Amino acid sequence: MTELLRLDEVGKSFRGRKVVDGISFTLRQGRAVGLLGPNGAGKSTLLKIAVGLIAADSGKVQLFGGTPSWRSFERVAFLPDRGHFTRGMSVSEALQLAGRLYPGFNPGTAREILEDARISRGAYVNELSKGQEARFHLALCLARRPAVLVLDEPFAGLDILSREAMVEAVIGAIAGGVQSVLMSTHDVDDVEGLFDEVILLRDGGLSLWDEAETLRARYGSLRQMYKEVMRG
Amino acid sequence: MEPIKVAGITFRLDATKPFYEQIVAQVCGALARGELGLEERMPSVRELAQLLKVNPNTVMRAYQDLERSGLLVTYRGQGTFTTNKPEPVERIRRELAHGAVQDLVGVMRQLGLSREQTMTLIQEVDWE
Amino acid sequence: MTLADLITFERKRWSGSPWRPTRLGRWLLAVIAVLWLVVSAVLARSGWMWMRTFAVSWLALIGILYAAPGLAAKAMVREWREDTVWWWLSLPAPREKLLLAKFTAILARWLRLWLLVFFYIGVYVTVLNAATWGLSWQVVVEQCKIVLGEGLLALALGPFLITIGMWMGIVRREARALIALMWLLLIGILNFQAQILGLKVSGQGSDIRVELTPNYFWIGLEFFAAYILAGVIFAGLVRWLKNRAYSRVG
Repeated sequence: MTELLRLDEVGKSFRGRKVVDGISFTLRQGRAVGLLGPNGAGKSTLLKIAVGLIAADSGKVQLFGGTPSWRSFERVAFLPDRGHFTRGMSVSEALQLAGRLYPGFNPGTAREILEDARISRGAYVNELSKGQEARFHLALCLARRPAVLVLDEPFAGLDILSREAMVEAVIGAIAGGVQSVLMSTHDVDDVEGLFDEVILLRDGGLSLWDEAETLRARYGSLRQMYKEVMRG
Repeated sequence: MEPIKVAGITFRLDATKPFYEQIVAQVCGALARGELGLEERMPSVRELAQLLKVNPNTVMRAYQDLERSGLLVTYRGQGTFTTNKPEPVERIRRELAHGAVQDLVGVMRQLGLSREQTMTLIQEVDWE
Repeated sequence: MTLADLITFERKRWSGSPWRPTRLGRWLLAVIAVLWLVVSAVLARSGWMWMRTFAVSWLALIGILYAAPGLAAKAMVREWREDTVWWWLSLPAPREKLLLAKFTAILARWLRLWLLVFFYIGVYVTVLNAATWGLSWQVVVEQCKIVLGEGLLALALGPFLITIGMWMGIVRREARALIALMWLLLIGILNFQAQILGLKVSGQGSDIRVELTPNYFWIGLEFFAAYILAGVIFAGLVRWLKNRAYSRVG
């Protein structure tokens, strides 16, 4: 399987505090990898380093076999944990703009998700509910049909129906076997079945990385594993 | 997780066991019980993955495993179907029955019952 | 993705959130408005028509000059405040292009303000003043020259000031302590503009006259320095974005 992303001993400090501490892992094509860990474990920073939004202090990041640059964003869609694409426009305006900003943007994919979320195209983005805006943002990312989809805490603070719909949309995207997903979350419950591989972060360091099914067999469930590893 | 019904199969996934094994087991069970007939169309990997909220690779692996046991057949461009031959289904039914009897024997032995006592009990049980 | 698409992206981001001044900004606005009223009232009563034109256009010039870095700094700070920064930075476009689009969008916004202000002053000077005071043609032309000089100066300084403002927006986030120093520097530069234009006030009382005697050597030197500096700052901003060494995440 093609290796799309490789991190080697990546480290990053902010104002003297080590946020990411010597992390190595790889993301292969068609795989869904979950980055689990409590808030403040360095997940968000690590994802931003992986896609090239933040430079690491030490270690090496390879994305599509090279150093991440603005060009990688033609094949990587990054969904930040919070933040708005832009709130000053209507949904259809935003789709139109996204179609011009992102190469290969397929509005049909986005439309499907929007219909499912009952988002009308005339609605203004700042009028959407939190769940709707999250699904809209996911739609913007999925419609780019990126080789790598990087989602930073996509479910934080959302209702159960939105969370389930988003999991379903992500599953639909990776079902083709072409797209890979790297996703961080602190809530294991929604994603028990979603991942091929799971990485557990603790205080900026990597404390575990294995196949999800192996971990499930060993610990009982991802939830159980999470609790045990975090406690121990 | 709540049960999910699709194409005659009722999936009850339990997050404490590998999903791949559970999908295989539950499809086998549905075939053996006749809830899932021969030559029936299975949901696509994508559909089933989305319904079960499970990674498509997991579903794919389960399907491949079921194909190897001759229970599922994939026709290019048409999708995945249950087998049209009764033999593999019969084999699975026997395997499951065998497993159930094994379990029963285990329990009876734990309870201190002999083979004869167990046979008598079985003959006395109301089948209907 | 063309530059025009990115500029549209920038402009759309402003359209949704109307400008809301901070508390300090509200106070400043109130003070400026009161001052404006007082100055206008005093000048109107005294009938110093030269002083009036001078004051109105000068205040407008100063205002528009400060608005340029203000707008630019706000546009940068807004990225973090409105949480659009990671969407912005993960656009598949070279960082130069991202910054250039932002710069162009700010410039367009500022140019609209510039047009508005100088159109107002133009009308004020040529039509209102002349009609009210029955000014001679020659005086109107002289006054127009002053307004034109000021307008052109503002126009020429705008892009430079916007670049400084974008830099200030980032400094405000990354090294807050430095921002006061930068404002002082900016005030210094802007106060220098009266000398550059060579505004000369002569006469006394109602006979006061204002003349424009621009020092072209200084103007040339200033613009040369300003645009070299703007280029250096822009290159620095691009470098900052490329190095991705932000002091914090969030």
